[in-house]
Amino acid sequence: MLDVVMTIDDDSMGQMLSEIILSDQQFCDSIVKLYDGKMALDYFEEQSKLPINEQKIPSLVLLDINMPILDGWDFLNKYDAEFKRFHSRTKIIVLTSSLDPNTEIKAVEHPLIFKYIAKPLENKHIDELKSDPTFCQNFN
Amino acid sequence: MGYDPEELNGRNIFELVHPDDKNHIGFRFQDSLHKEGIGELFEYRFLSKSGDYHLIESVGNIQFNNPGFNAIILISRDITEKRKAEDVIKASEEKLRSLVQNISDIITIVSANGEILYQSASAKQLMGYEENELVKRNFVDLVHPDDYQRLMLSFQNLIINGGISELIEFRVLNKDGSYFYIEAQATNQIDNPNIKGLVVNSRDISIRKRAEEEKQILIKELTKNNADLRQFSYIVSHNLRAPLTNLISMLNLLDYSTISTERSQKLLEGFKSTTFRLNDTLNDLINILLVKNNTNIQKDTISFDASLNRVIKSVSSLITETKTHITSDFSSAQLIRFNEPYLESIFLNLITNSIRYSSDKRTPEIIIHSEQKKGSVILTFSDNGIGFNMDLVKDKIFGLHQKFHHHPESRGIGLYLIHAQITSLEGTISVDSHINKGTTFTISFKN
Repeated sequence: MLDVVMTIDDDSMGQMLSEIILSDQQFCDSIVKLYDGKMALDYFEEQSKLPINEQKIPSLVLLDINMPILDGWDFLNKYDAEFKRFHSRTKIIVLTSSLDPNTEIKAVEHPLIFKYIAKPLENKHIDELKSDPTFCQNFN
Repeated sequence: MGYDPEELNGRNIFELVHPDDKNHIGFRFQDSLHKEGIGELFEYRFLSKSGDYHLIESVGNIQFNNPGFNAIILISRDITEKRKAEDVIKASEEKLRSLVQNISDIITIVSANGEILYQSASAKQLMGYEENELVKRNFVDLVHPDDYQRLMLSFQNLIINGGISELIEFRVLNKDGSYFYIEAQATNQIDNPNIKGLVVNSRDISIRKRAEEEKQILIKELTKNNADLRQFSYIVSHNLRAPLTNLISMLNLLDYSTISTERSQKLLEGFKSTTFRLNDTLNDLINILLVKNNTNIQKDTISFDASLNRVIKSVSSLITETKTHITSDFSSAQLIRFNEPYLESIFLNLITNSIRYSSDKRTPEIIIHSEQKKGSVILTFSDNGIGFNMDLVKDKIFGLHQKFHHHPESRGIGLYLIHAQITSLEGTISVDSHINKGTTFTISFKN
C-alpha cells in the first residue's frame, strides 16, 4: 500500500470516483485532493518547508490536463523546474478525459510522466499498477 | 555663313570644307570635271566665319563648255537646323519602337473589319508569333469560339461609339495550337491617319486565371466540408439529446429513499449532478451551433437602455441578493443596429459573470456606457470584481470551455457565446483585467 496519493482535477465528481476506486483497492493510506495545478504547486511548496520526517510527499500523482488557472502541462513545467528533489519519490500518471491523440503522445513522451490513462479510472488500471515491477518499487 | 562676298573671292573652297569631308568632295570634284550640266545633291560640312561647321547641301551645275562661265556653279543651302529636327523625330520614333517591342504587353492594330495591321514583337514570347507574323490575318480567327460572341459585341460597340473599350478577358490561339487567357483593352484610332485602326493592348493573365480557378475549387471544397461538419454536429447533438433526456427522466422517477447504502446514495447523487451538467453542456453546444450557423441574423435599430433594463429585470433577484450596483450612461450613443436577443445575451452574460466573479471585499459595481467612434458604437462594460491575470488568459479568454476560476456554475461558455454573437455581426470584443481591481470589456459594434 502507498502512503499518499495526490489527485489533481477540477472535476469534483471525477475526484470522488477516483477516491472510491483507490479506497476499494486499499491502494493508499490517504489522498490529497487538489483542484488545479496552482494548488498542487502550493502544496509542494508548503511541504518543502517542513522537516523531512513530517513531509507528506505523494508516491503517486493522478494529474488531469484541462484545468482552470494552471493546467496539467504548466504544472509539470513548474514542478520540473522547482521541485526536482521530489522527483525520485513521486510517480506521475496523467488521468484525463481528453480524446485528443496529441495529448496521449505528448504524455507518453514526457520524461516526468510514468503513464497515460484515459478516464475513467477503473479497477483494472490499479491492478496493472500493482503488478508493474517498475511501479512496485514504491510499495512498502 | 557670316562672310562678306569679297571675303571668299579667290579662296580655295577645299580650305573651308571639314577635313573629314574633303575626300568625298574632292572625289566628286574630280568626277565632275568630265561631266556637264546639273549633278546630284551632296552634303558636307562647311566652315562659317564664326569658326563652327554648318551642314550644307549643294548641287553643282557644271558649265565648263559654256564660255560665259567655264566653271561649276554650286547652289548651296544650310541644312543644319533641318537635320537637327529630323534627328529628333528619328530618335523619338526609335524610342517608341523599342518601347513597343520591349514591353511585355502585346500591341496590335486592327482595322475596322478585323484585319491585323500591326502586331508587336512581344507576341513572340507569349504566343510564339514573330513580329508582324499575324499581319493580314483576321483577329477573330485567333479568338476561342466560346469567347467570340462576347468579344465581337465589344468590338462592334467600339467601332460605332469610338473611345476606349472596357477591359475584356478572352482566350486566344497560340502558335502551338493551345489557347491562353489574355486581358485586352482597345482604343478606337480609326480617324487617326497614322493608325487607321483599333489599337489593342493585351496581356497574359493565364496565371491569374489559373489561380482564380484553383480558388474556386478550394472554396467549393471548403463549403462542402463546412456543410458536412455542420450536419455532423447536428447529428451528434441530436443523437446525444435523445438518450440524455431518457437519463433525466429516469433520475426524476427514481425513489432515492429505497437506496439503502450511503455509498450508493452518494454515487446516485453524483450520477444525477453529472447528468444535469451534461445536459447543460449539450444545450450550450446547441446554442453555439445556432449562432455559428445562422448567417442571416436580423439587424434592428435597438436601444441599449431598453435591452439592459429587460436583462436587469430578468436577474433582479440575483442583483438584489448580491447588492450589485449597476450604473449606465447611453447618452452619447443610445441606439445601435444589432440583433436584440444577441444584445440581451451580451448584457446577461457580462452581468452574471461580473456578479459570479465579484470580490467579497467590496460591493459589486458595474459601469456601462456607450459612445460614437468613427462609424462604430463602442460599448464599455467595467466591474470591480476579482479580475484575472491577463498574461495567463489573454489568448484563451473567448475560447470554448476555458475556465479561469473554480466556480460551480462556471461552464466556460458565456464569453465564447457572446464573442460568437458579436463577431457574427462584424463587431469586435476585447478585454482588459487587473487582479483584485476588476475587468473591462470593450465591444465595438459596426454601425
